[in-house]
Amino acid sequence: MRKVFLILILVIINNLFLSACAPKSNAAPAKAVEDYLNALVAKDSDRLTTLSCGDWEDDALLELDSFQAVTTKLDGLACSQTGTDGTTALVLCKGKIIATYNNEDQELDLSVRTYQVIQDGGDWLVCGTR
Amino acid sequence: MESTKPRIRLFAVLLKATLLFVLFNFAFIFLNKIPFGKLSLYNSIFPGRERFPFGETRESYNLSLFDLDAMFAAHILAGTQKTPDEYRVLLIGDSSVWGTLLTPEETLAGQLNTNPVIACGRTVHAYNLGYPTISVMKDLMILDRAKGYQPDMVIWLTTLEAFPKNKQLTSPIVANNAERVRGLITKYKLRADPNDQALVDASTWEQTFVSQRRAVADLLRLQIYGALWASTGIDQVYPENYEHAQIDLEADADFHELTSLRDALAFDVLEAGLSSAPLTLLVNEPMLISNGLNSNIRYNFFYPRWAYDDYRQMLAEQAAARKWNYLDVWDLVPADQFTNSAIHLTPAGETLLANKIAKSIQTICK
Amino acid sequence: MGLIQIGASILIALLIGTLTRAARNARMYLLLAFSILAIYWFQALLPLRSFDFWLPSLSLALVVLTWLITSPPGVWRVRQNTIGFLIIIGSVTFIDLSRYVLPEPVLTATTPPQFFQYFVFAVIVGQIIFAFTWASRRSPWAITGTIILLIIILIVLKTPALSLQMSIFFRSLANRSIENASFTDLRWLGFSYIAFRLIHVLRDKSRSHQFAHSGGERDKQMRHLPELSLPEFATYVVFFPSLAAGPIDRAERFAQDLRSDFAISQDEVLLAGQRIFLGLFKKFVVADALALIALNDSLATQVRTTGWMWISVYAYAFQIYFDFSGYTDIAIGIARLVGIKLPENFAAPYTQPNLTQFWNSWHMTLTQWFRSYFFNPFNRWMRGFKNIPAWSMILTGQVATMFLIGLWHGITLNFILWGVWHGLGLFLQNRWSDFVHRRFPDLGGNTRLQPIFQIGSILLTFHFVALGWVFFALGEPARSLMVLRKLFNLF
Repeated sequence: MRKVFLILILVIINNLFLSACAPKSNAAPAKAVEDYLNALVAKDSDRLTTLSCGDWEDDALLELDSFQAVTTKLDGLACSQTGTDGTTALVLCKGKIIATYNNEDQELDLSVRTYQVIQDGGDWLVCGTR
Repeated sequence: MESTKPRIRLFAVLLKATLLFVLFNFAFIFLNKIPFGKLSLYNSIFPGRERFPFGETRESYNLSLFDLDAMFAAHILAGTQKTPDEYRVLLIGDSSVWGTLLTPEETLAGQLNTNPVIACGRTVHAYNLGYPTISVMKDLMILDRAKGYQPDMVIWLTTLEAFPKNKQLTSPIVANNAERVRGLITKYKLRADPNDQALVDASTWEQTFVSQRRAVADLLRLQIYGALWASTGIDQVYPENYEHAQIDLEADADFHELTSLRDALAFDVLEAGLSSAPLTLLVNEPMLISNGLNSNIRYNFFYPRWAYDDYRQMLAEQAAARKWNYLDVWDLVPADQFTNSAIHLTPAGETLLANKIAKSIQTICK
Repeated sequence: MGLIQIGASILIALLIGTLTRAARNARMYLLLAFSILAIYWFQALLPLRSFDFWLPSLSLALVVLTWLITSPPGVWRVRQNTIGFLIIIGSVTFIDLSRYVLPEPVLTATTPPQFFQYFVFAVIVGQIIFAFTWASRRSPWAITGTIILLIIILIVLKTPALSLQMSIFFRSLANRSIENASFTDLRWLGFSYIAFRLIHVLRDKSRSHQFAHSGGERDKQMRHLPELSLPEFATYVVFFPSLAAGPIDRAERFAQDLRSDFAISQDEVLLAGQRIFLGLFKKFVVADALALIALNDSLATQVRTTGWMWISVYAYAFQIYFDFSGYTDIAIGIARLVGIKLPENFAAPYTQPNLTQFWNSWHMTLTQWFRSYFFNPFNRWMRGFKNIPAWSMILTGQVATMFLIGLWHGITLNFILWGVWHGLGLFLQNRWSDFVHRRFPDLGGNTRLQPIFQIGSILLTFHFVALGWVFFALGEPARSLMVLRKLFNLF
């Protein structure tokens, strides 16, 4: 029993070190925005909520509402972090959202807005646009 | 005496099942040539639909498919025997004819049928063959398929957006009926390129059952939706709120990156269709004429003024030269009688159009 | 469970069944490990961040807690239990750490929480479990307390107003907008089934303790729940094929299968495969097709005629049957691949001639659970009151049981009405049977009329059940009444 307890303690300490030393990837904010846009286009309100910060949640769901009557897909999505503003990461995306209604496609260029992404509880969350 | 059940060898069962499935998968390439779309529960177990199946959401109890045979088989036209008293009118066009945000009764066809119109001593019965894509090639494809239903008159409602040559083959229903479209190009000697990249030619693998499973599922689902059509009469979602057609416009005079409409419009397709039917009426359909921001540059979301004015002039010249029956009602409907698009009318707007068209039917009927 | 999850479950079951031929313990440990992974993988994404990790973790915490308070002291010293505990902790830790190694969440719907948060959670939960276990050694009320806790959680999850309040509470803790809170925010995978499995063990154990030292024959029968090791117990509660929708097996029966030698054979694979294939067909072909035209809140107001309304009700009756029984077939088939013979849940319910037999053949394991843990004890308690007439006891017992079965599905008026509908139906059927047997004792022997009575009974029973489904399918009783009026042309 003592052996088991010791093994457990060692594992926990190792893991604490692991988590503290986990490399902070610059790709993470961009990935967060890509996931956000994928959730938007998939009309997955639950996922969209988990990828948005508290202040942006209402706006994200409003944006989702605007797509309810149309079929949506992404084309050529590629996001990258372009800078920071304090603790906020700024992400710019290339590509477009293609919204189809009555067989007519409308293209929404993603490069017209910059996404603001913050870190909360170790996760990057979309928290607004510019 | 002991009887022993023969042992089933699992591997042998799995192998045979896999082989049979592979055989069926590739045999489907040939089976697919059989027009299964013509088999339909509509007009037998379920009543025929008032308009072509088209749907982008499940709540509409409707779906979109590319199989023209299935679309016609589900239409009430396919199940209605023509009576001696019937003056059969087929309406061809885009989403405005199909009736976006309109119930079947509120569409042009519905209104022509509700208020009886007598033409040449017979009662007009109008059939809605509109489909939500703005393309004259799509219209020709439908018209060519519909000729077998003994129309007395074909009314073709169109608008400038249906004509640009560079978009004729890109609409999904056209692109996915490559064989049919090539047939039309040959038959009518159209100027479109039969080898255009936009036309979808399915590879061998894309013709197998695995690749075509969605199409098969859609065919089956269309039949099940027949029960919902019969029980509810619903074939479209009618949202309480929608974004109205733009009145304030961009200061942009671009139209499909064209500087002139000369040789840019597919009038040959129009001519092919109008000459193939016994009696036709071409209608330049109503559109929203804005009085908002930049309305001096553009009429509406679709058209800059220069392009649309040129188009009207060209269309009128073509109609006169080829002696088409032509009705230009572009400015018939006031701006407040449009819904979510510059070509989608409210029921009141459709009434105005129906009254005008009814008079034309009576004038030109034979 | 979606098709991908079912496919993965089949492959894993085949792998376990093949790799652990006649190696009982290895099979048990692997089943436990994969069941733990499954409880996270199958958990739907929730709008409350990281709840797709916390809720399964709480399920496992409840499993460990229940096992500890129903096991004798010193169980940790048994090797199997130590290994079981390490598997549980190891699996959950592995899932949490996947946050740092996997580019995308694979085992969970969203990225698991940070290790520090998980560590704090584990410590707090560990302390609570320790406290409960300590209390259970000193008082039998700990078991009752745990049962009450499970019932409270069930009530909260099943009552929309309470679930909404919980969601508001958690959202405000996380500084989130409470306007977006919904009662569906806390969809806890399989909790209804987990709770019932845990309550069954807790209840049987507490009865075992009651009769542990008495010597009568009946009392000996009450001491029927054997000691289960932690891996056996945990695997029983979170067994991946039956996690989301049952059947609700009994712990001692399940443990017996786990303890038996099992060697997968071609015949077993074939039988299991047939069952799985049948289930897939019933669920994904028949049920999903019927779902398109089955009664729902939208269709209830849209269907225009009586005839089509009946078709819509029939479609719902068959859709719910094919969906649920199809899922059960899949679960039974997958379980068979690892040597677990789960109990049947359906036995041609729509061909039964009366409501009692319907309930003996529809969701049988749920009915048996309620019979064991409510109906029989409740009836025994009522018999203690000499002044209550027999018919009144039958009415109360049946209506109360069905009322609770309705509540198990959801604590809303429509489920209550559905339950009461069946309770009253059972009572009326009971009184009618009694009347017919007394007045027409020879009716059963009339072979010419038998087929007519049989068909008539089946049709009557089916239609009674189908009409009951109207309450089940529709969220609002007013809408159900509107549908019933339409069905009988009373617009």
